[in-house]
Amino acid sequence: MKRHSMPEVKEGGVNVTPLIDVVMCLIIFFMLVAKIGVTSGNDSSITIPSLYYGQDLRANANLFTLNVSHSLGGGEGRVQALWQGKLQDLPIMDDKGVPMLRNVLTYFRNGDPGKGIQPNPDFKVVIRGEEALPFSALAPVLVECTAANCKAIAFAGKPTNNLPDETDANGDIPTESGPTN
Amino acid sequence: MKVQGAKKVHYDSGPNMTPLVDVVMVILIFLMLAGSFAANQRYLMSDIPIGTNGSGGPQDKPNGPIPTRLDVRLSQRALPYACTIGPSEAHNFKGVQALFTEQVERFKASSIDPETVQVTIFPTQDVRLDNLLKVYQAALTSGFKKVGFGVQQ
Repeated sequence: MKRHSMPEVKEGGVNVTPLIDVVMCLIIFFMLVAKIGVTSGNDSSITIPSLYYGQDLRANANLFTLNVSHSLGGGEGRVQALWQGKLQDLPIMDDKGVPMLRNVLTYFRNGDPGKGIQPNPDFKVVIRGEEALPFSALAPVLVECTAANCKAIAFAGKPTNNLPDETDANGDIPTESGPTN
Repeated sequence: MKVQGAKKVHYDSGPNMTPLVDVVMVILIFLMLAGSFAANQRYLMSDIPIGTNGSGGPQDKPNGPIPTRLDVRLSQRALPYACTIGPSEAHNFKGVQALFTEQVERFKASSIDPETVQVTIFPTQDVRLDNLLKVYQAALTSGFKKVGFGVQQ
């Protein structure tokens, strides 16, 4: 009886199995570490100062970002934050005399016993202020943070490796320093 | 002349992987471009945000040691800024850093740990945030740990 055997298999082209293995690993890695669609409440229109020294804050769950700009004029700052799902103004004192910013900060810091939200002692406020923001606009925000019992405040800045004031307008390094008259 | 054709017939085994590889590569490139991985921000931490020039200010622990204070005045009366510590004044980062380093040495000579010293920066109302943070960084890089701001009343 004539026996039929399986035809000899010949693979054409390169073996892509290792490639798919590696690419799948990369996809899983990027899916886990990439933060797509996650907003931290940063207002990208604000030009923040450069920071030579500082640290990274990874625990985003405890961070609340306040975007402080100087667009209102008259020495008063404008505070915007991600509140109730959207970036909105948090006035220090609204038209009805309610300290909106302080109430929101207190809510995050001290929780809400009625809703079963526990106090968060690790709560940190991140201030993203305009680099040209005068202290007159920043000070009321700091006062509200203190009043809401937020002891940890971080100032956000662009990372840079250059020392501040490394060069002046002429490209020279200013050196003046000494006792006042 | 004899033309040689293919000597052997090729058989493909298994499913065609080409569309899978195409799709997977597109997803991979999308994730690589859309994800934000490197830290695009740096943070300066302050545990004691603000104090006052008077009797108020940061609340110390009851019965704890009274912290040594170092007051720093900052204004815009000189360009880019004028930072005054005691009788000395500096107008740039390295100058301010030198003033802070001098203070660190002074505290060490008095057997005071600079990390326990409460540095309070008192800016005038017109001081810009970037200048404020330069002085802040100068204090931290000089060896002080507790840096906060004060409101001049």
